[in-house]
This record gives sequence, structure tokens and C-alpha cells, in this order.
Amino acid sequence: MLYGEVTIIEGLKNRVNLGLDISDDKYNNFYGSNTPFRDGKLNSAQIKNSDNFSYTLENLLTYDKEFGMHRLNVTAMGSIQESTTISSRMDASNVPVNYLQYYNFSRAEDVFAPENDNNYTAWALASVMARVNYVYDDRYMLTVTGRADGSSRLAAGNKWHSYPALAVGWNIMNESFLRDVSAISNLKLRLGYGQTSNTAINPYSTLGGLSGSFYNFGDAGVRGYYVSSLPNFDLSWEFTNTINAGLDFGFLKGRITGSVDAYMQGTNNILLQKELPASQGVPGAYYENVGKTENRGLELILNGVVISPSSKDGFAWELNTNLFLNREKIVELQDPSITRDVGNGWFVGYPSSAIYDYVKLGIWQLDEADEAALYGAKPGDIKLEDFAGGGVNGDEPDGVITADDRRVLGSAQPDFQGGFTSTFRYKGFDLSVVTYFRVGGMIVSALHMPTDYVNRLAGRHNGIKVDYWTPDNPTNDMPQPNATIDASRTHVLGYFDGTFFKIRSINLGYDLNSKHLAFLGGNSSLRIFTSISDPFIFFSPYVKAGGVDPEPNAVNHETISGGEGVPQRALKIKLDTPPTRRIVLGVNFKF
Amino acid sequence: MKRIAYLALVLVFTSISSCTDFLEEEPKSLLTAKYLETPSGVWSALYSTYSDLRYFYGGESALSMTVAGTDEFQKGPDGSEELNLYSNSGLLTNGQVSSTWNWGYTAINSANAVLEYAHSSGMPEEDADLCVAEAKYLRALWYFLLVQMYGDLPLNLEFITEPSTEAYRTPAAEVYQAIVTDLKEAIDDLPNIAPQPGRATAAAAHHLLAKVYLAKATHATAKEDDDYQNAFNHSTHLIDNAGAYGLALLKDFADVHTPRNEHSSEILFTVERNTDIVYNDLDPDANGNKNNRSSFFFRPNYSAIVKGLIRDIPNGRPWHRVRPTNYLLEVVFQNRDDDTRYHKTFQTVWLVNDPDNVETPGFVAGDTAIWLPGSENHPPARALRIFKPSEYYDNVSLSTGEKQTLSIYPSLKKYDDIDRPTVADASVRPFIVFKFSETYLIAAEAAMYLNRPGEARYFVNVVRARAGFNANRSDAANAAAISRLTSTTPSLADFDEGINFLLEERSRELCGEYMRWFDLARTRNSSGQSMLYYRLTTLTPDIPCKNTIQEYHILRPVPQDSQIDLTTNDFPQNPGYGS
Repeated sequence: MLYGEVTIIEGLKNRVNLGLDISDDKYNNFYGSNTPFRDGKLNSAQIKNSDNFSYTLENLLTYDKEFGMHRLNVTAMGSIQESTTISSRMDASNVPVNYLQYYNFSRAEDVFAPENDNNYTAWALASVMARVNYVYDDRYMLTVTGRADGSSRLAAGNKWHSYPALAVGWNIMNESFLRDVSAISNLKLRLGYGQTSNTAINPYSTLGGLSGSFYNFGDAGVRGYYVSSLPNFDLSWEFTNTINAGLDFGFLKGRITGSVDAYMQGTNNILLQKELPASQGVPGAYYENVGKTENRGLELILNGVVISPSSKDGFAWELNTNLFLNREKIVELQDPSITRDVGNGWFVGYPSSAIYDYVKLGIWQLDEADEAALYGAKPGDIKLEDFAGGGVNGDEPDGVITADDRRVLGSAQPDFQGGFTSTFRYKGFDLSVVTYFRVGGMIVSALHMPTDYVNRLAGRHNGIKVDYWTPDNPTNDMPQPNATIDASRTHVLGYFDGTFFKIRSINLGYDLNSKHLAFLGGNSSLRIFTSISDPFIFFSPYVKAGGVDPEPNAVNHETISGGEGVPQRALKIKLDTPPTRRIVLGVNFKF
Repeated sequence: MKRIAYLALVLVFTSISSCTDFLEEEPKSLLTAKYLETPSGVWSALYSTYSDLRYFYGGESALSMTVAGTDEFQKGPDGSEELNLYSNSGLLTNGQVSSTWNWGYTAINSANAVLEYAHSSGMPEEDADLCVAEAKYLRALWYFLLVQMYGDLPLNLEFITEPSTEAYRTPAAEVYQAIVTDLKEAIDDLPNIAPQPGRATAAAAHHLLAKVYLAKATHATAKEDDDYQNAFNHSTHLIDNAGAYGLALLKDFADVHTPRNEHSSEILFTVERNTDIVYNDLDPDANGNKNNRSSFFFRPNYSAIVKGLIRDIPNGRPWHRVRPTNYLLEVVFQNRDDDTRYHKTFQTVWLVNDPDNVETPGFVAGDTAIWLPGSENHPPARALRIFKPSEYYDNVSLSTGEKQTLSIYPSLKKYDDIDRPTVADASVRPFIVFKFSETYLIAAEAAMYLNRPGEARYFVNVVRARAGFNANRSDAANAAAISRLTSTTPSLADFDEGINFLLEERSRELCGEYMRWFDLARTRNSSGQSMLYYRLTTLTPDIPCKNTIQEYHILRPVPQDSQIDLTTNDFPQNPGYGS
């Protein structure tokens, strides 16, 4: 990061920042024929390079002035940012001798350049911004901002978006009527309105694209190209309007501090990938500004010194807590007349992570055999609720479980979340416990769904321990293992309440008194510490049902096999590594 | 000095920000749809449509849709229970059922791109005509597969440039009309003989059109009075002009499916593959669905049966998805002496190839490891293991009354591949889609329904006569066998007896060739029932799905998650599948 700053006249400064990021990434590999990667097939080699050059150039003009009780600060900024990445990759197969590895591709029998990792990607952003900050007597504050951003990733004509922000603050603490109240050490009211925007799509998404395929006619090989994504010439910024209000407070000379914030946000023109029906003939998903969502939330922070140390090394206990909740819902899809898009998992009035699937009532028991037979099921099968006959709003059970019997079961949105950190100190010791909890929300455990492989319930295979039905065990939990198990209806087995209370970490440390280290010279210190992370999980229905950890570990866009009903944004737990428990022992030594 | 430096920086900055094309995107490694408007782009769209055929012909999804659950093949040890037994929920959710729909529309869109841009791209007129004709042939082929499987469906005849979430099910009758029009127009411009192996020809188009007319003739809403006449005309046109099209039946049935002989005079159309690793889509990780896995599906797990026999390239990789039904083996292939097709279709002998591990003393490489004599009583023979039909997988053992679990049964030889690079690799052989011998059977069926049983019988006998040729016996013996085969052909005057016989003859000639389900779904008995339902519920020995198949199963369910759920207007499901 380079910068240059010049003072033009008193109070007026000009600063130019230049940030550069240059990286070069090489990845080469060779897999021998008898390794598990090749499993007896011909050996393979790969060389891959990726170069990236990015820079950010900002030009700032600031003016500060104080006159009397007024304080004024004006900032103007213009900036550009650009990033270029060039990747290339070659694959080879059938290298004659293993020691050649990837060092000489000319000797391999077959060399080809794959579709992935051979590309050029460049994007750019440009912005201008102006902000005025005015404070009167350290009591009344006003900030007004205007900003415009342009992104190369959006469609022509929609690349620029401009938006304002306004904030006011009232430092009540400094008012004359509070100046002598010793009980209150801080009280400040904040109100704001602003807009932020997001260009979060990949470069070139608006242009559409072709993908390649191969064919041959006898000995002659040929390449084909087909449309794999359609262009969208209307794609524009996604932007969010936010109104928020907050109160910062402090009591008892700062012994108790905290803040309360409430906000309301509306996001418009959300950039999301939309799946088109297969009959469109374009297999890739399609980027669109798909509608509006709304978020409302509340955040509470409370910090306090519960026990103040009576002497320098006396016992002290500090507690920091926070609590927050958020309510999201989709207000409108791009076409106001559409209230549900089942294939993409969007339902007006529900969060974007809504889960839409059948409702599981339990398992058919032996005494319900006749009723089960009406639905083509038998005791031991999953009992699903039959709502509708023909069409979404049918209200008579029609005796058949069809796709219309699905309902919104829940979403990833929790009722509320929070945590606390508790720190104890005594002499040189310190002990802190960090916790986090979540109440509500629905998690999707792919592990419990028979479409993944660890809970197949298709016969006497190894699997996770679940309570499955047998004639002697009339549970309502999991169905009877059956090779002809109907996979589509079994996703309901994997939805769990995502409530939990976790102790994130416990840390214990001891700082050796610097007096004892004086012989090493000044400024020496020694600290011994140990900590354990993610040691305990309490109150989790998922863990009680046999799960390992109710925090998701699957990548956001990964789908679940046979993924009917599970939206992109759901909290998913798959076979990836769960959060790990670690114990660390360490020493910090400085002299 | 500082001021000057500062001013210089400001100038640089403002000059950059005033570049109006700073925010322009220039994709240097991507091709956009504009490329398809150039001559090379048009050809690439055509090649992409060809390439998509690799998804169907040779793939597992097509196996499940055309071979499994028929009177020819039933579930093998690793087959899908639900697809072979027509379980509704299995059909609704198993991805293999919706695959053809998904791939088909991509292929059709590429073909539409060719039709859209060929003449305006700037390529010479004859090239454009040829390109358009091939695209029409391929589009017709894909729509024919789709309409037989799914019934009414969206008919896209234009290249799609604007996305839409609406789709409507055009009646099948219109789809059939579009297919017929495409093929008729294609025939005018396609060459008689393929310029390169695998290219579409007028002969293939005639053959396909004859098949389309036969399927259309029994379709409830699409049928027209001249369908059988048209089917007869197009098939006999090929038969009468075989020389001009370079067509001729091979003398020996065994040569038709021999590896490396996929472009013989009997073959009308293939989906190409070769050994070039760049072009043959062999890598299962890159695009496993385009692998030609036909050599895996029909093979029992021979190497697990007996020590001394291991997997190798000639013997193949056993995925045992399907096994021949008892009906096919006992009834259809009952005649195994005069009719040489049983032994030329099925592998029943495996030889020792791992002599070091043989447990029985005295057996060396080349001795018989496994023999399937094909009947309960057989002459004595020297082999490590001998399996009678009651010992085939899933048959009931005569001694214990239990179902057999060992994976052994006659293995279909048609897709064996000796040229695969390694044992685990898929096949590098082209997949034979249409054969000239089927043209005779089409002509026979059309003639029968036109009340010309004599000609029908004549055409069938051409196929049966060829089946009587055995290279290892004398001409006199062959002549006798042929004469017996041809004289026992029924008269084909009665439609019910005739269609059942023709379906059996098709099995003898064409079993395992990815078309049986279509033939059963399109044919009817005289009371109007589909032969799919009629035969699967009445044949003996019993077909496993006899108790689960329903009449509405002559159509597959429309994909729920990739089509119905994503369509914003009402998109009805096929009857019987719940909606």
C-alpha cells in the first residue's frame, strides 16, 4: 500500500492511496496408475498456473474546520479498482515413465486443455463519494453522505447506481441536565438512514455463454458448442435501504455499558440465480434481479464489570453479553403476480431459506395398516400428511400423496441468537469462557436423508445409529429399512430444530509478573496459556438425535442429492468435517 | 515540488476515470452466443447436437428406460429395483427418468441454432443445406425419443435467446407432425452414403421415418390412415434400393456386432466414439454420463464366481444392471441349433485367464472356467463351474427353493469391447443405433397391418434365413436349417398372433439394443391394449414386474423438479403418476 498526502491549505488535505496485489499461483500434480486416484487406469499429470494483478486507487480530499462550538469535516473521494486473473491448465495422460511426472508434457501420449481453469477474468469498480460531518458542541451530530458506484459486471445501461445516507446523533450525556448525574456515564442516541448496494455476481454473467462438447466421425475429432447460459441485458445492482436507531448507554462510571439497536432493511433487485425449466434447453442457471426482501432486527449488547478488583491483582469478573434477532421475508418476486417459485425455493412471505417439503406425521403403525394401504404404504413406512387434491389451494385430502402435499416447513432463520463471554482475573491468572447460542431455525441434515449414503435404510448396511421402526419397536422416528424405500419422500427425515447452546472456547492463561523477569532486561514478559475450542454443546435436539454438530458445514450452494425442497440458502450439514474440538497449549515469551 | 507531484497524480487519476470503457467487459476466454452466427459456429452447434446423443446411446439412463423392465431384461444384482418394477415413486424421483428430457431439450436447442443461422452465416449454400438437413434429422430423432417416452411436450422449433419460465405441453399429434416434416425435408438434402462414419444419411432418415410412422399408427390421437402405407413405402424403398445406399445384410449374424465392425454395410446410423482421449468423452469424472457404458450393464460378475478367472479387458467390467428374463432365454431363444442367434448374442463360456490362482488341479489357462449349458440337462463337460438355468441369479433353486444370489447368467455380447485402454474404462466403440435388418422387420409389420401377409412373411424370412447361417457347418446343413426356419414362420394373417411373433423376432434379432420398451409401448393387440402391459402381465415364464405394471406406464412421468416445479404456468403430469 502506497500513499501520498499533501496539505493544500490549512485544514484541506489531499491523500492518494494506491494498493497493489500481485499473486502467482502454481499447482502441478502427477497421479500414478496404481494410486487410489487412478485406480488402475492410465496415469495422469496436470500443470496449472494462475496470475492475478489487482490495484485500488483512491483519491481523497478532506477538509476539517473548527470554529466556536461547531466542528465540520468534509470528505470527497473518487476511487477505481480493477482485478485481472489469467489461468491456464493442461492435463496429460499416459506418461511413459513415472519419474517424468509433469516435467515434460511432450512425452505424454495424450495432452489436452480442459474446459476448467483456462480463462481470463477481469472486473472493475469505480466510485465517487462525498460526505459532510457536522458536530455542534459535542452534543448534536449530523452526517450526510452521497455515493455513486459503477460495476463492470452489470449490464450496459445499469452499471451505475447512486445512493444517499443520512445519520443524526444526540450525545445526551453532554447535555446540561445530565452533566451532574454520576449514575449515567454515557448516553447517546443514533438514528440513520442509508442505502448500500451489492454487485455480487460473477463477471461476464450478463453476457451469456457457450460450453464445449466433443464428438468424432470415425477418426476425425470435432468440437461442438452449445448455449449453457442465457444473457441478461437488464441485470443491475442489488441495493438495500436501511433505517436504524440505536442507543448507547453506560452506567455507574462505565461499570455497565451497552447498546440497543433496531433496524429495518428492504433489499431490492436481489441478484440470484434462477433455474429455468428444462424445456428451455439451456442447462445453466440464469442471473436475474428477482425481487424484494425485507429484514427487521434487534441487537442488544450489555457489558459489565460484575466484580471490580479490590486491588491491583485482586479478583475481577467481567461479563459481555449480546443478543440479536432478525426476521427476513421475501416481499415480492420479480413478477408481482407470482407468489411462489417452487423450483427455486422462493415463497412470498417467507425467508429466502424456506424449506418446502412434505409434512411427516410419524410412521405408519401396525394398527394403521388399512389406512396406510389407501396411500400405497404399509406399516413401517413414513406417514405423510395429505393436504390437498389437485392444485395448491385444494383443502380436501384426496387420498394420494402428491407434490401438492408439500408445505413450507420452516427456514434457516433462527428465533434469536446470542452469546456471552465471561472473564475472570486473579493475580496473574485469567480465565475466559466464550459461548454462543441459537434458538430456533431449521437445519437440514443430509446425513439423515436416505439419498446420501450414511443412512441408506435400504437393508443391513452400516449406517448412523437411528431409531428405526420394526414390528417390535413401534417408533415414530425413522421408517423400517427397506430396499425399495421411496427416496423422494424421505427428505423429511433430515429436518431438525437448530437450537443449541455452545461453549465456543475456554481459555486459561497465566502472565508471569514482570518483576520476576527483570533479570532479562526491561520489557520482558512470559505468558503460559491453554485453551480448548468447541468443547461442549448443550440443549441441541440435533445432537440428541445422533448428530455431531448442529452448525452447518456444507458450502452454501451445494445441493443435496435428489434435492427437491431444499433451497440454496438452507443450513446444511453434510459429510464434510464438522467444527473440530481443539486443545492448545502455548507459551508466549518476549525478551 | 510536492505540489507538482500531487498535481501529476490528480491528472493521472482523472484521466483514468474519464475512460468511458473502463467498466466495459471484454471476455477474452469465453464464447458467447454470437459465435453461433458464424459458419464455424453453426457447424459447432451441429456437432454439439450429435455429441448429446452420447448421453442416451450407451448410457445408463437410457438402459433403464429402454431395456430394463421389459420382457427381454429384468433387474440384475445391481439393477434398480424401482425402475425395473415400475414403482411410481421410483419413476417420479429417479433422476434417470428425467435425464432424457433434460438432455433432449439442450440438443434440440443446438439443432435449432443451426436451423436459425446456417443460411445467414455466410457458408456456401450446399454446405448450409447439408447442415440444416442433418440438424433436422437429429432434431427429429430427439423429439421421437421424447414423444415416445413422455407424450405431449413443449415443441421448440426456434432457437431460444430469451429466457422464459413458461412452457406448454403441445399435443403429441403435433409433435409427430413436426417429426415427420423434419425427416421428409431432411431426406431431400442428406447424402445416400455418409461422407464420414457417423454422419446422418438419407438411408438413416428413411429408416427413422418408417419407425416414426409405425409408432404413430397406433397412437391414440396422432394416427392417420396412411401411416402403415408410409411406413411400408419408406422401409421398402431402402430394401429395394439397398445398393444405392450401400446397404446389405451381412452374411453372418455374428459379424454385425463384432468390435471394430461398427460401420459395415448393415449399419445405418451410429453414435460415434473412438480411442482418441481428447474427443471420446471417456473420462468418468469429466462427463461420466456421456461414457459408453453399454459394455458394463449386461455382464454378470464372472470374476467373483471362481478362482482362476479375473477381470480383464476382453472379458469386461461387470456392472450387472440387467439380466435376460427367463422368458427371453427359454421361449424366444428356444431354437438354438437352426437359429444361430442365441449363441451369437450371449456369452456362455468363460475361460481361465489367471492360471496361478486356480484351485482345482489340472486346469490351465484356456480351460473352461464357467460354462452355462443353457438347459437343465446337459452333456458332461470339463469346466471349473457349470451353471444350469435354475442356478442363474434370482431364479429359484430346484433343490433349496431359495432365490439364487450368485451373479451369473448369460452375458450379452453385442457391446463387448477389446479396445478399451484399461479394465475400468468405459467402451470406446461407436454405439449402433439403426441396422438394416430392422428395416426388414419394419416392412414386415407394416405389410401385415396392410393385410399383405405374404409380403410380411417374406421380409421376416429374409432375417430368419440369415440367422440360419453358421460358418462352422456345411452349406448343406445351413441350407437345411434355413429351410426349417423359414417354413416355421407363421402366416401373419392374424394380427394378434402376428404382432406377438414379430415382437419375438425382434427380440431374437435386436435384443438389448435400446429399443425394446419403445416397441412394446407402441404396439397394440386387437383389443387396443398396449403390448407393454399385455405381454408383461401374461407371458410365461413370469416377468417380475407382472404384478406392478399398470396400463398408464406406457408413458414416463414428466420430470417434477427440473420441469414442473420450475414452470410458472400449469404443467400437468402424465396420468397415473399422481397430480
